[in-house]
Amino acid sequence: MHDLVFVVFVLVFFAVSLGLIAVCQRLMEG
Amino acid sequence: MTTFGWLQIGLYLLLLLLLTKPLGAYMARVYQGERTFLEALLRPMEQFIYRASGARAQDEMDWKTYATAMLVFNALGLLVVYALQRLQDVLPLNPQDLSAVSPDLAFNTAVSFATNTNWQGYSGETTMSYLTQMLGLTVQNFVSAATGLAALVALVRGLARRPAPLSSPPQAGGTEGGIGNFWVDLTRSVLYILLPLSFLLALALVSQGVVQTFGSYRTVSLLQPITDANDQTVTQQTLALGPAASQIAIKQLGTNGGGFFSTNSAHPFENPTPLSNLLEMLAILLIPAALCYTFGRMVGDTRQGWAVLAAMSIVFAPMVGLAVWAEQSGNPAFARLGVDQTASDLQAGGNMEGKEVRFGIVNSALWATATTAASNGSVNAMHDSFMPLGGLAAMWLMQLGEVVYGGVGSGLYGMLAFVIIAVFVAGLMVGRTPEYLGKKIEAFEMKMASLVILIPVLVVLVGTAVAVVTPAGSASVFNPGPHGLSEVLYAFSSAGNNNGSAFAGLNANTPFYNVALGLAMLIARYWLAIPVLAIAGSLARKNKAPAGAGTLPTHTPLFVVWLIAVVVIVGALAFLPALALGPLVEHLMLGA
Repeated sequence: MHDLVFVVFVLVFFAVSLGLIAVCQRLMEG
Repeated sequence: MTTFGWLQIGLYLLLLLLLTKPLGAYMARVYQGERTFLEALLRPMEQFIYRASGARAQDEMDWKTYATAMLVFNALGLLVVYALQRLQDVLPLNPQDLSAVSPDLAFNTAVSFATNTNWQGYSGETTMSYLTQMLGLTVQNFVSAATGLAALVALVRGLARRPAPLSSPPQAGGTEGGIGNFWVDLTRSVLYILLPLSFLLALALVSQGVVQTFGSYRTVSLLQPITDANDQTVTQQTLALGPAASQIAIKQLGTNGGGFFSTNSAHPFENPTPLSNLLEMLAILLIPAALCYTFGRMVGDTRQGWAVLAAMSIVFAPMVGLAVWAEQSGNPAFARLGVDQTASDLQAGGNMEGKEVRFGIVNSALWATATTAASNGSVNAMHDSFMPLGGLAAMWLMQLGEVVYGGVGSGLYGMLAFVIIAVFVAGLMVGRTPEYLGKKIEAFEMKMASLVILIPVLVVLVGTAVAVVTPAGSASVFNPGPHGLSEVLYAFSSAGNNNGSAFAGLNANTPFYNVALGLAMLIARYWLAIPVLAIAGSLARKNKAPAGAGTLPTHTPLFVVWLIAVVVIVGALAFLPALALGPLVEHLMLGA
């Protein structure tokens, strides 16, 4: 159970990071 | 301080400076795809890696593709290290039959090594199997360092290049503004830079007595039996061994810092002699310093690289002086007990608590400042036992954002974010168009650079605040008063800037700290690398304007001073209140 929590935590963090890439791209395009 | 003390510091800095240009020039050749003397040996291996992995080495990536590749690769590596720790009890190369690592510690350690932080909430010799150390931690030492190098090189290309179309067929999402290929930069960083240097350093360390073996731990008879706390006579001791030299070499060169043994480079099997100490200290700053020259070569003006290196060194030198002076001056509490703290031919003098007698004050304080300046985090003395101002020097170097040399790649890209701020502010002040190396610095670059500088500040201060006001956080603090705050602040400064060293008095192996510091490390690494790559992508699309009368020269002593001012002002404004409540008030209380 704990393993699942941490694995999901990591995956969510990296998914949010991919979202940050998209946000930065939108900012770049003004 | 003795004459030998000054000579040791001078020798260290001289050797570092002498190695900067040749290594920097070599790395520039590696990243520009030029032939090197290792080409014949390593090129076939490089080609094999590309073929086996399916990487299209000839393709340029735009910044989004580059950043996505970096994230995916790091996420997978992190999960592999987590799995290795959780399964090590059923995997081979575990002669001590060590059990699986707990989930929260495995998470913390996996994050720590994937992010090039190497914060360690565990004792290596009692927690990690040989397989975990080698396949998990040592591999991450290489690839996390290479990730930092890749991100830096992408930024430098953004500064150096004129807009050029991506190769055909274009990568998804972009038609121009290529900043390189992540897989190529990662592979070449490991193959041509980190592996050869680590191989040489590991051999040198083995020659000094650093252990490198797959044999199990040895039990030996003590020369002098001792009596333990239970009045039992102890006649034997178990000596932890393992494949340490290979990990220590990359731990220093890659600014990783995670020790094979619990006491890190204070352990005689990790750092046995003054020569091994000098080599390891050199390895800590070697690549970050040399990268300044690499940067200069890649942008076609080595003066730019020397200017950045000068700014870093001018901030570093006083911090070394402060730490050495603080430790050499001794501890007033010891003086009141009548302890002789005077330096002489027979003793190093000063505050020797928590330090190895074979290294003394100077090499302990010099290491502490180098390792915190460089986001390395390895230690050869216990920073928790430093005098308050000695600890402050180490802590503040981290809080500056690990840009004074900094981590491999990450240090220089952090400093270049400060350069962008400095250029922009200077441009506004004197009415010149903000540009750096011919590229216009506009609102987008400023926003991204601000993120790079402010995110670690936020992570450190908010993390510390949460820890000291919550029962889960404050329960781990064993020292009351300002020193306890310093320990928590140090922990979050270390994790929130991907350093990894610790004030050891804090019990950080708890679910709260494992998760909180893990999150701090993740944010500090990837949410800085993404804006850096975004800057690279933005700059790569811009034309280079020729230098004119309105161009602010960025290689002059005046700009170096201005850059230092920006770095110091940001660092001072952000952290002075917290430092005042921790090490500064502790220093005043000691003298009272």
